[in-house]
Amino acid sequence: MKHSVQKFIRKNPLAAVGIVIWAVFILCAVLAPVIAPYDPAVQDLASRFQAPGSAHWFGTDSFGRDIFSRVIYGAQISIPSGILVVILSCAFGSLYGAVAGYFGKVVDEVLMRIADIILSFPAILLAMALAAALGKSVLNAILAIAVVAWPKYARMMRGLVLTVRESEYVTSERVIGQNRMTILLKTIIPNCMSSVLVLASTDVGTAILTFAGLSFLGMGVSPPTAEWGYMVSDGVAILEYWWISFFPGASIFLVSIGANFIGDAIRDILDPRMKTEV
Amino acid sequence: MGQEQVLIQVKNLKKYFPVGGFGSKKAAKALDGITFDIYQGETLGLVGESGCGKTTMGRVILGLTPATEGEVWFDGQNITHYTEKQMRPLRSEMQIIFQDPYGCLDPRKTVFELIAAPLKVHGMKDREQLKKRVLELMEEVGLRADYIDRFPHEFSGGQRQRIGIARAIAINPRFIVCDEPVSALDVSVQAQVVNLIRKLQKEHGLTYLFISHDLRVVKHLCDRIVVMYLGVVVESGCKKDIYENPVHPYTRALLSAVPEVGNDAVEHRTILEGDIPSPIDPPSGCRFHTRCPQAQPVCSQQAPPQVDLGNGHMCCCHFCGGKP
Repeated sequence: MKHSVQKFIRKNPLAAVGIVIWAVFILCAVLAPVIAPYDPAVQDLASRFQAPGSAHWFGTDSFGRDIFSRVIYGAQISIPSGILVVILSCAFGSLYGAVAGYFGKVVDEVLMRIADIILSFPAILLAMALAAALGKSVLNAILAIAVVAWPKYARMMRGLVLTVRESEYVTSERVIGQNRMTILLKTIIPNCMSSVLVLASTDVGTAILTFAGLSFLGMGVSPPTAEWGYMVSDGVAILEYWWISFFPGASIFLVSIGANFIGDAIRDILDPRMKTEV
Repeated sequence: MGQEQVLIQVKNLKKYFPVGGFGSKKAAKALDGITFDIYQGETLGLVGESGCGKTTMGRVILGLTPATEGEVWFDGQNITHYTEKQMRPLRSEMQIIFQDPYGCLDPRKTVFELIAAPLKVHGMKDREQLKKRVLELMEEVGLRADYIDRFPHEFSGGQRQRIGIARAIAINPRFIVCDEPVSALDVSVQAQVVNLIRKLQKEHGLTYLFISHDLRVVKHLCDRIVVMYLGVVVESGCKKDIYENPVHPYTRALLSAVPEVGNDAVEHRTILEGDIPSPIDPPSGCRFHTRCPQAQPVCSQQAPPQVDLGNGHMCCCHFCGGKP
């Protein structure tokens, strides 16, 4: 056990870093009430705009709330919503694109034009409209973002399927009489998935940011709930108090980078060519 | 050879690939009126340069590419317009060995999954039974039993080709298209794979369509030979006639290009000039006239007739009746 952990770290040092980052953030999210020194919502106007120091490790914001505590509580919202957006949009988008690419012709035309319609709107605008129409809640905001995020997976998957479908190993499945759906699900999609997963891992950060944007615009999370994106926009106007934006921003950055590292490792693990000497 | 029972009939087969986008009337004529029969138990060699339509021929016979015109008959059934579903029962009768052993195996499947797939499709479900049969097949094609859980990238080209062959014979087909099965392999490995293909034919009574540009391999394996040039058949006949008495200038040129030990008649070689013309706009009259060393004015004006030279030896040339 200890041996295989060491081996993993030696082979994928970046993935190990990514896993550590994520482990720390997830731990923070789960144990927020234990770790956070202050209540994230309680205002203390006497100690507003305090720079990071021993009392407030990450400083305080314009209402005197402890930023360290808010970053920790923010993880409870930002991380799951980012992941959920990516899971929803990636699953739907990949399947959609795979069907379009595999069946081709009319199916492809119709499906991809629908995707184009969604792509033609500015993403945040469409997400806003949807979130507003669905009503203000975290779950609705997640759904709204997923609805605007899936077409890029569809496009990518379609392109990949178009190449893989012409490959000889797909012909070799056809020639043994395998049915089309099985070929799509068991041969084509698995061979396209690794690139899509890398896109998905880079997308976690974008999803968190978009979610933040929605919250800032008044959809999604309402104040005083702590949420990273909202906190970043809080501090943008008053940059001399840099810590207000910096710490939640750094959290978004770290989580995104960590997701990328893990994504790369997942791709390698999924590729049988990479696991030669086991 | 079991006396002359026709297994596959190809009648005036045409395959045009549209080119030049929407509304364009242009087409690449990959196959332009091909007719031949394949008899039960024989190996028919299909030879020609790259780009003459050999591979397309194999794919059209197997229904992987739809024909534009003409018919393909398998064992008395016209299978030209069979749908994927109608073809399914026939898949266990007709198989293919691919040219590229690196491209024809799914990189994410193990040897077991690859060889078991055709068995599963055709109704074998029991895991123990599958494993037993896969091991049998692996032994038959000369793969070690402990390779069963490995992935394709762990093998050499020759071993991969053996996996491909095991997959093809798994469901006991009667007919196999061998699409240049050894052209991507090292010469030392070629012989082993050719011998394996031959051994399997003897043991299972297989019928082969052996597509190749390597005339030595074809001579070693085939009973009859069809020579293609730019989508048409220029000469066909039994091996002896083609190799000892080639009539068509193209066949002669191909044969004279085969390097042979002890053949010092290098100066008598017919070297063909230039490349094969485009199948989009093939030459008028006889398609070979642009490169033919014996071309006469008539060759560019009229398509040559098919001349029967007896014993099934056919030739399409204005001058194969004797004259020049």
